[in-house]
Amino acid sequence: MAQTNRIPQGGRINRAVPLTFHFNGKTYQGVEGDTLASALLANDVHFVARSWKYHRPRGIITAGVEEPNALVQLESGAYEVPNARATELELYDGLSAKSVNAKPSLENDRLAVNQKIARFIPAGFYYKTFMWPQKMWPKYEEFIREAAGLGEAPTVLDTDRYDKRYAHCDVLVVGGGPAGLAAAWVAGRAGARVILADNQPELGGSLLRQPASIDGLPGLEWVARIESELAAMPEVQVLRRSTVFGYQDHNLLTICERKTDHLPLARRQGVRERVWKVRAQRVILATGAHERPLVFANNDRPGVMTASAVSTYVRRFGVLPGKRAVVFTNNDQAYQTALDLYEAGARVTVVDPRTASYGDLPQQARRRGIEVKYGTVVSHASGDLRVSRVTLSRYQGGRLAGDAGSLDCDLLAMSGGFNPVLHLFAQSGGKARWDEQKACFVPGQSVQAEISAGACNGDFSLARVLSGAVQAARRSLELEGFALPRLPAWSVEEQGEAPLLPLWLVGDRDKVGRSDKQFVDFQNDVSAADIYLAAREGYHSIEHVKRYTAMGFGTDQGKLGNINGMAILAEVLGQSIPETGTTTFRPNFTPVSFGAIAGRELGDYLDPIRKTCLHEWHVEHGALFEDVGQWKRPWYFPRNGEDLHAAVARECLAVRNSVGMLDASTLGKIDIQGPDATTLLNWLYTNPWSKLEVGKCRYGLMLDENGMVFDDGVTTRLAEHHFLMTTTTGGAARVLNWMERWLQTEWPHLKVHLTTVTDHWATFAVAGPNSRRVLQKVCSDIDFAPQAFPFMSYRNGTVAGVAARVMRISFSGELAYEVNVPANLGRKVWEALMAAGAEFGITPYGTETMHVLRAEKGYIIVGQDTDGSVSPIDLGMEGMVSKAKDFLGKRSLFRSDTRRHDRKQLVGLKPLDPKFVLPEGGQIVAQPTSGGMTPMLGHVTSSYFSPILARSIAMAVMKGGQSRHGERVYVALRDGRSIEVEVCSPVFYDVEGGRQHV
Amino acid sequence: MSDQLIQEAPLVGIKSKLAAAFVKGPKDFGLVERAFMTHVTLRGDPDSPAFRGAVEEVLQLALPSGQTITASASGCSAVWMGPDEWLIQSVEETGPELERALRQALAGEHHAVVDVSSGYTVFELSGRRVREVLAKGCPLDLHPKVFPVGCSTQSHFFKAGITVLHIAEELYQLVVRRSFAEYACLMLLDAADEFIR
Amino acid sequence: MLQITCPWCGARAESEFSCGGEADIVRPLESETLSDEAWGDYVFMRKNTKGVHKEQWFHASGCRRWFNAERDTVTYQFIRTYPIGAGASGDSHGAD
Ligand SMILES: [Zn+2]
Repeated sequence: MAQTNRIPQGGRINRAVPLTFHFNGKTYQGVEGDTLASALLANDVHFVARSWKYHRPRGIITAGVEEPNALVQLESGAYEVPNARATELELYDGLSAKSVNAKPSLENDRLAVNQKIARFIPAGFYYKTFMWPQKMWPKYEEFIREAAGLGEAPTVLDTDRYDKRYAHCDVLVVGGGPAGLAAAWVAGRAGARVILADNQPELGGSLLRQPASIDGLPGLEWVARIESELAAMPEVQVLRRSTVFGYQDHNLLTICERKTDHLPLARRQGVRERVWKVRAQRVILATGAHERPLVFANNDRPGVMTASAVSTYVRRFGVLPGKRAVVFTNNDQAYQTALDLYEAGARVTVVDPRTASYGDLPQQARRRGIEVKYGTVVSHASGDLRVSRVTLSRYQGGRLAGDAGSLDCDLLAMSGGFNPVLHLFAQSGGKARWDEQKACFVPGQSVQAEISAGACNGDFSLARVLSGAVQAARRSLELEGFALPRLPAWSVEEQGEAPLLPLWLVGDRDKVGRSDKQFVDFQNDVSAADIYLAAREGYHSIEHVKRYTAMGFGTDQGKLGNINGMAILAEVLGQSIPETGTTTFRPNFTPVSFGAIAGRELGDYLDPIRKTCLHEWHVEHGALFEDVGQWKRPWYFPRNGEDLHAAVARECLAVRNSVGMLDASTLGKIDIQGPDATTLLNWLYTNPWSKLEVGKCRYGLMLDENGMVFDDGVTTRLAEHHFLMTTTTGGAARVLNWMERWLQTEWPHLKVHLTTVTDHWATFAVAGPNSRRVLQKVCSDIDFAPQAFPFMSYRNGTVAGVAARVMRISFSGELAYEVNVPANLGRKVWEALMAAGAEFGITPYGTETMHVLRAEKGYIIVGQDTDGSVSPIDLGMEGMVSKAKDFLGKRSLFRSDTRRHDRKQLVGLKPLDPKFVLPEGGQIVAQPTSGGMTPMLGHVTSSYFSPILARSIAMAVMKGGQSRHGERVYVALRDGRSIEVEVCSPVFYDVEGGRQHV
Repeated sequence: MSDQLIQEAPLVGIKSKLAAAFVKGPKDFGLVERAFMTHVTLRGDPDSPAFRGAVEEVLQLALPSGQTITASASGCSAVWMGPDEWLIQSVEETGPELERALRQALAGEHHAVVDVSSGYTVFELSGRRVREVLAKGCPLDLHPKVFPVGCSTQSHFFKAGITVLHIAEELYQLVVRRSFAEYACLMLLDAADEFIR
Repeated sequence: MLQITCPWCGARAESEFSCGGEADIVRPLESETLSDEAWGDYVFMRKNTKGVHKEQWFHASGCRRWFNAERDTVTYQFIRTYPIGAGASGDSHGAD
C-alpha cells in the first residue's frame, strides 16, 4: 500500500530508508524517522483504536506523550508491550502491533454494540448496577474485566535486560526544547554539572514542528548549534529518549532512558531501559505545553486531531493527514497549522469563535487566501470511521447563536489553547495557579529547588521562552554559587498575537446529554454529560468528580482532558476554575515497565547470597544447602543416594556415638571491649555477668523492652575487659544495631566498643564423645583434660598450626568444642580436623542434624520456637532471669499480661504413634476435631524424628503447658485427621545432662 | 609467610568466572581481588592526644579526622570509618602483630583494637568506567570534584556494605565483608557488563 | 528517596540509613517502681506528630553513628540533624 499522505519533501525523516511494518495484520511501509502514528497517517490510517467503554472508533489525536487513543499491543512473546503509545513508538523495520480494546478485530469489534446502549451506561453505571445481588459479583467481575479494556498483560517472561543507576548534578534540565536547550547551555557554560533529559530521539521540542528564526538561524539550525556546543562541554550529559517520570523528595528525579526500543528486534542488545535516579542540586523544568482539545459533539471521530499534532505530522514527519481540513481554534497559534496545511497542499478553512484576530499569523493566513470564519464554532462532527463533515454554529456571548452551515472535511485540527505541562512541578509538591489571561494553570510557588521555564511556565512566545530559560539558569547558578558566564541574548522576532478566547464546552448547556457525546477524557470515555451528571448527583469536588467519572485515571493520566473537565465542572457549578480546584498529578508521568522498576535485582541478584569460607568444601562433599537469612548453610550431606531422613539419621548417630562437625561460621560474633563491658552485658542479658571469670563462657537470653525473647547465644570472657558475644545467625546485624543504639543514645557514658567479627572468625562445632580425641590430635598447646578445660570455658591454642580460640560449649548435649580460626585459614583447619577425625568416622553434619540434636535436648531456636511473643518465663527459663538487677525488658515480665498462667508455654510433645512426625505449625486442640470452631491451645514449633530415641518428638507452645505435662491432647492436620500426643518436658534425651560434662 | 600459601581468598568460589569476565581487558573496567591484606579496626577518642600519639608512634602516620586516608612510608594506612573509628590497613605486618603492638601502646587508654583481616577483602577497581559501574548500585557522588584522590567513605553497592577508597585517578579500592564478597563481585561484574563484554 | 545529612558524613541517600523513630525517649530508672501504665507508656506510646518531629536516625551503611533529626512529617524536609547529646544548642546541620 502506498504512502498516499506522504509529502514529497521536508521533515525530519529519511525517505531513502523505507521500513516495513504490520498493524492489525496488514503490512505497510513507513520511512526512517517515522513514529508508528506518523507511518499509519502516511498510509491514511486514522481509525486505529476502539474506546475503552463505548468501543467507539478512535483515531490518533496527538503526536506525543499525551496521546489517549492510539494505544497498541506491541509485538508478542518476550517483547510484548501493552498500551504502547503509537505516537511515541519510533518505527523500526518489522514492527508489529495491533489495536487494544478490539476483539476479534478493530472493524468487527464485538463490543462495538456498546455505542448503541451508551446512553444507558453513563458514569457511575457500574457502581450502581453491579452492586447486588452480591453473589453475582464473580460473574459481573468476569464480564467487566473482559469488557474493560486496554492492553493485555504479556504471558511470556520478559527477557530484556533493565538496569538502574544513580547520578548527581548541579542542574538537571527536563526537556530539550528551546527553553531546556537554552538553560542547559547557560548552566553548562558556567561549568556546572548538567544533565539534560528529553523524551524524544531528537532535541528541539516545539521547534521540530514550528518555523522559527533565532539569531538569524532557522530554528533547527540553532538547535544543532546548541547541541554540538553542549556535546563539547565535558560536564554536560544529554539523555535522549529519556522520560523524566518522577519528581521525588529532596530533588531526586527518576528518568527512564529507552535504549533499544527504536531498533529492530534482531538488532537489540544490552540494556533495554535504564532508570536514572538523579539527585540534582537544582532542577529546571522545561517540559513544554500540551494543546487542549475542544469539546463538541463527536469530537472523538478519527480525523479530529489537535492542531499542533497536525503541524507535527506535516512539518516533522512529512505527512499530510487530510486534504480537506478545517482548523477550529480559539487562538492565534493554530493559524500556523492552517498555514502548514495550506503549504502542504490541503484546502483549509479556519473556524474561530472570536470576532476577529489581528495577530501576525491570522494575517498571514488571510493573505494566503485561507478562508476564516470568525464568530463561528464547530458544534458537531459527523462521519462514521472518519470525520466527513462538521456542523458550524454562530457563536455570540458565549452561546451558540444559530446554524452557520456545514463543511465537508477529512481532517479537523482543533486548538483550545495550551496547558503547561505541570506534572513534575505538581509532583515536586508545587501548587498550580490559574492564570486568567492565559486561561491555563501555571506553576505557583516552588516547594523544592526547581524553576519552571518556557511553555510549562506559561510563556508561549519564543522570545519569552528563551529569555525565561536564561533567567532560570542564571538563578540556579547564582543559588549554587557559580560565577555567571556571559549570558546570551538570542534575538528572536516577536510575533504579534491576539488574545485567546476561553472556550470550554461548545454546545447548548441545556442539551448536554441529549445529543451526541462531547468527550472530555477520551481514554476513559468521559463526556461533558458525565460531568453534568456527577454535579447533579452532588459531586462538587473535582477529586470526587474524577473518581465518579474516572476522568484522568487512564494511562494518560488526563493529560489532555483534565483542564477541560475542570472548567466544565466550574461552569456547571457556576464558580471559577480556581474555586473548583486543581487536580493533583502523581508519579509517574508516563507508565514505567516492571522491568525498569525491578532493574537487575532479580533471581540470584535479588538479595545477597552469603557464604562461609567452607562453602566450596561443602559443595565438593555433596552438601545440599538451606537458606538461613542471607546465608547458604549445608542442610545435610547425603551419601550414596540417601534421602534427608537417612542422611540425618546417620549424621545424628555419628554425633551421639562418635564425633561430627558442623560449620557454625554463620553465627553472629561481636567483639566487646572496654571497662564497662560487663555493665553493658548486664543490661542486655537477663542473667548476671559481673562474676563471670576470665576464660569462662555463659549462655544469655536477650529481651526486647516488651520482655520478649529476641536473641540468645553464648558470650565468652576473653580478658578482664574483653568479651566475645555470639548471636543467632539471622540476628547478628539486628543485635549489633540494638547494642549500638543503646550505647550511643542511652548510655554514651559507658566505655565500651563493639566490633563485628562474624566474618573474621570461621567457627566449627566438633561434637560427640570422641571430639576431645580429635582435637588432641591437632592441638598440643591446650590441655583438654576434663578438669583442666571444663564445660563452658575457653582456651587459646594452636589448632592445626593456626592460632585458635577454642570454647568448650555444646548445642547438642554432647561433649563438644567450638573452634574459631581466622576465615582465610578456615578450610585448612577444617580439613586437618576431618583428617584427624577420620579414625573415629568424623561426620560433617548440616543444619537439619543440628536441629534434631538440639531438639532432643529441648534447646530453643529463637525465631523458630519463639516468635516475638514468648518471654523467658514462657520458655521455662525463669531461672535465667536475674532478680538482683534491672535489664532491658525486665519490667515487662511483671505486667499483668506477662504474669498470666495461661500464656502459651514451651512444652514437648510425643505422638502416641512414635513413627508419626507432626507438621510444624500444626494446631493443638483438646479433642479430636473434624473442622469447625475449636479452641486452639497452641502450635507445634519444631518437630523431628529422633534417631537416638527411635521415635518422633516435637516442641510446641501451649496454653498453660508447663503445668500440663502428662496430659493427652491432639494436633489437627490439614487433611482432617487429629493426632493424639502426650504433653511432656521439652528435654527428651539425657535429661540429667551428664554427657556434655564428661 | 607459610600462612600465605594455605590461606584462601573469599572469592575462591568464582575465581574462574572472574578470570573469564574480562574479554576486552581491563582498559575500561578492571577488577582484581587484593586478598589477605591486614585489616585492624581501631577505636578510640580522637580528642585524646595520648591516644593519637600512641597510635602515631606505632603506625607512623597521623590518624585522619575526616573522610580521608592517611598512609605511612612503610605501606600502612589509616582509613576514617567514623568519628572514633579507623580501619588500619597493612601489607607488611600481620593482623595479630599489629593488634598486639597497638594494644601495648594503648594500654591505659580507653580503646579497642581488633584484627579483622579475615573479615574483609579488597577489590581493586580500575579504568575509565569505574564510576559508572559503581553508580549502578551505589548512591554516592564520586565525581572527582566531590570525592578526590585520597578520600574514603562508606556506603553500599546494591545490598552489600562497602568502604570506597579513591587511590589514584581511575583507581579505587572497595573494602567488602568476606561473606558479601562473592555477591558484591558478581554485582560489579553484572554492572560492568556493557564495558567488559 | 530522602537525602539525609549525617552530622559526620554529610548529605547521603536515605538507603544508607535506618530510622529509629521518636527521639528523646529516656528509659525510666527504677522501672520496677513504675505502674503498668507508666511502663507501657514508655514502651509503646509514641507521638504521631504532624509537623516538626524529633527522631533518631542511624547511618547504618556509613559511619554507624546514631544521631538526632528534626524532620517535618508533612513536607519531609529535615530542619536539622545533630549528634546525640548535642541537644537544642548543639552543632546544627541543615538539610539544604
Ligand atoms: Zn555518617
